[in-house]
Amino acid sequence: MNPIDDYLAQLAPLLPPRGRRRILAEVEAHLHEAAAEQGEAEAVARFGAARDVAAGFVACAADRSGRRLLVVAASLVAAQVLLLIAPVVPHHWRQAPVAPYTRLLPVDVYLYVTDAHRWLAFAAAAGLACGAVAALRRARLRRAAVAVLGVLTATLGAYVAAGWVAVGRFPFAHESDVLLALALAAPVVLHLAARGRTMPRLLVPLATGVGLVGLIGLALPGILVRLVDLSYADTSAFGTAVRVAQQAWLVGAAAALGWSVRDASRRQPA
Amino acid sequence: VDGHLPLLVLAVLADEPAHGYAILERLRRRSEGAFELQEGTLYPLLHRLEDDGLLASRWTTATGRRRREYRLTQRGRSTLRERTRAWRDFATAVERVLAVPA
Repeated sequence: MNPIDDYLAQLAPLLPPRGRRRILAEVEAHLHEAAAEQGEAEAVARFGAARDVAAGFVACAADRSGRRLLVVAASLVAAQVLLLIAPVVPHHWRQAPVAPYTRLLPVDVYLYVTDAHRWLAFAAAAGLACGAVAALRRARLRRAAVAVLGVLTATLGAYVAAGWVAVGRFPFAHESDVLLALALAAPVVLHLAARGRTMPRLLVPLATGVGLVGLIGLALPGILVRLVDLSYADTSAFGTAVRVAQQAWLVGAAAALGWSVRDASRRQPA
Repeated sequence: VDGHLPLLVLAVLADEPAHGYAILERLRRRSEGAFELQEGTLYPLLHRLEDDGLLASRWTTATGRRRREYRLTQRGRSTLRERTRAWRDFATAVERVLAVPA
């Protein structure tokens, strides 16, 4: 094997899967052009260690997926905020119609299933925003991801507080709502306390942990419940539209969830 | 040169598009050999600038060889103007400070 082929074979497995072919083609073209003037061994030496070159591409790919996560998280927040202000819109938006089988479940499980949709996007958005925080290297974008978390926290906090004032207890009796609000508040408070300087070191493990707990612990079971929940009693046009929108939304959240877990598990280069 | 590399790359692409190897050649020539880069570090930067919408790229074929050619976008051009102005202001300020006799 000549030095260029050898170098490309070293580089290939270190590159992010997306765009790998293009990167290898560009590097190969560069090395051949340089080799025509300097010889292959010198061209490879001047190009730099495969590990260092790959680290640059991995960082670039992480930024790209961080941005995607941020966009999805922000849309989920918007969708969830719409659901939470739903008392002014039709009944369907406040309490999604449920499948008949759920009525056979024990009452606690039934209550969870009928209410779970309320927090699905919160948990998914939290995970995605945390994934974005963990993936993004740029301070400005990372601040945007933290802002998404801030909106989530404030809305969730206001919702729980409003229930407390109106009813004198947490309206939906889910301790997880309060825990989720506290967990979301933590990265935001840390960010504010660190004023952006030491945030990555403090926040990345925490954000990733919160995201994964949010996603796997809350969103995933909820998403599965909703995806199984195909036989609603309400067959009106409005009910069908709500159902289709919900399913599409949850499938999107599940796909985004896959990205988030992948990105969170990918190590950032130093 | 690391922190200023994006500005330098945008600057050498201002006149005409080029592929990675030619960008390095231009940098070397215009800096009269002052900027000797680890060549592989250029490519992640080119991809990042493309992600940011400052560059666009396409495959071209010259002398039987396929190359990825980069060119400035409109946004890249205005970013280059802004960063050049900021750099000149900074350099002028540093010059003024250095000009004061010790």
